[in-house]
Amino acid sequence: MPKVIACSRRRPGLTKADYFRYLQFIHGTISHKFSRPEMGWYTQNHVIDSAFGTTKDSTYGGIANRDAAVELSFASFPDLYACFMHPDVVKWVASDGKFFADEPNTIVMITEEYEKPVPNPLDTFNPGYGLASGVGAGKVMQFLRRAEGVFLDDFYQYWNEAHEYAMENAPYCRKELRRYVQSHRLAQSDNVKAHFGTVNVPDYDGVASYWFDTPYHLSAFREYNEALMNYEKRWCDWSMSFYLFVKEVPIHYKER
Amino acid sequence: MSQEVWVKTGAEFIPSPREKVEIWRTGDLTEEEKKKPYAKYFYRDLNPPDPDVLKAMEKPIDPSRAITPEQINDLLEPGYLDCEIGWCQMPDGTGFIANLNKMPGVTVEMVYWWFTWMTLNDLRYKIWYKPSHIGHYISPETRKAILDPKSRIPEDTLWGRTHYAVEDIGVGPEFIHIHFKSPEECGFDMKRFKKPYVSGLVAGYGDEMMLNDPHAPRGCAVMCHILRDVEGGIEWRTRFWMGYRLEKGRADKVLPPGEKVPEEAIRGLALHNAHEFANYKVMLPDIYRELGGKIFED
Repeated sequence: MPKVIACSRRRPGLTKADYFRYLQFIHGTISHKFSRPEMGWYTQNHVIDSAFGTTKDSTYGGIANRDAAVELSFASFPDLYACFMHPDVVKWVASDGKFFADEPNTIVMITEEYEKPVPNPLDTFNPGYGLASGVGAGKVMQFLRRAEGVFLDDFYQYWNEAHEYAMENAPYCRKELRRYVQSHRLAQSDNVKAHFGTVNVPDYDGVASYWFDTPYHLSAFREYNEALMNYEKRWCDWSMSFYLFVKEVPIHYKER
Repeated sequence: MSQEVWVKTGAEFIPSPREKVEIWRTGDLTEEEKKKPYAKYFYRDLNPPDPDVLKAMEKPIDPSRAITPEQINDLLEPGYLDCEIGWCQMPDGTGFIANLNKMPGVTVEMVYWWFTWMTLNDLRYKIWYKPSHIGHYISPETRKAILDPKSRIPEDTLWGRTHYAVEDIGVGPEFIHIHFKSPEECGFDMKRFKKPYVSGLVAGYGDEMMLNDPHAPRGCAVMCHILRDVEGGIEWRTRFWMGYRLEKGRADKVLPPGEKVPEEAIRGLALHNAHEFANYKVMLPDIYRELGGKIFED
């Protein structure tokens, strides 16, 4: 199931409040109005806080500002193309981006999801939580770029190894992480860049999504991330990678 | 594709695909390659395809004779399908290719050895079919798995591995990332995936990048070489579905609506396949016997 991820920052002249208002209530409404039956789920992730590169870097090599990452899931590539190429979507939805996003600098990728099991997908605090597992009100999206010279297939292998290592060495995260999904970038990503107006931004090889119970649990990610970066193999360009603490805003819901 | 992507994609490929193209254009091997004991295979005359195969490839077949990747399990039926040799552009714009090669003296063990041993340097890829094969890369982890005597062939060395091949099938040098898959990942019904219906599988999908035009959209194709034991050897049945990729056991059409895989590209790949496997079936038993079916680095 291909999933499009577009990560943008607000266009010049907008405050964060302007941007979030437009993204959720204007663009979200337009997207919902012209939603296509081919579309799966569409979720906006509004950025609460973020970190770019590492504390060892004196400066960040890219744009150290991202305000939202949206995710659109499809059952197949024909569905994805049918949606993005539909005249209404082109005329109303795609053309709306310029009113809130710095489009030339939007990161866009088509990805394939790989969900990895977590030890505690359920919180034990309230028995009622048992009705739905693997959800949380606190979410992290981590954009990873492989280290120069690392083959793509090795990158994915090392990423999994590093994740296992980090989970072993981050007990608080191991306890609190409710869901974990890797999204791997596909070669077809360039075919949707035009829809989002992307000109030339670095490519990211994958995005990890982490769900925690509440935003107060997001510090568990910091523990995990330290361990992830300490994994012995050289696999990720940490100076060009970044993560976002986000609030999920479902726009178009379909059962996953 | 942006230039930035290309620069990043190229960082791990040393020497670069373009440098390998320059070496290939000399028409000869490097001095280092000439010293290898199997360099002589590069200088052998090529075995041509059966004239009947070439004749069948001249014109496209009626698309109604083709099968789609969703029908991949039809390849497990006894006997043969309506089209075993031919190619066409399907009504939805995707490309279909079929080919059948009888390979006397070849075993499935040889095939899996080849797709493991061959990957370790450019020369091995070149001797397979020198007019088109330019160079080959694998990642350090794949190399480690291939050289590990404990690895299972093909489970650890081929299925799930990526080959990065540089070749020219008539439209200019291409850089193809071939993602090999297990039978399950290709969508085969594993209850039926057994002898006598099938003896082996070399399959997956490839993403291609034109080296002369890194900004051109990437093509994608599902490749399926399904092997069956026959008396005195094997038969090698090929299918390509151009415009598709594989995802978790399912073929997904990635060709955008309204676009078509050009007929010349489909025919070009069909002919290339006919030529490369015509030479392969003669070369493989010889080199396998000579090298004892061993996996080694140099």
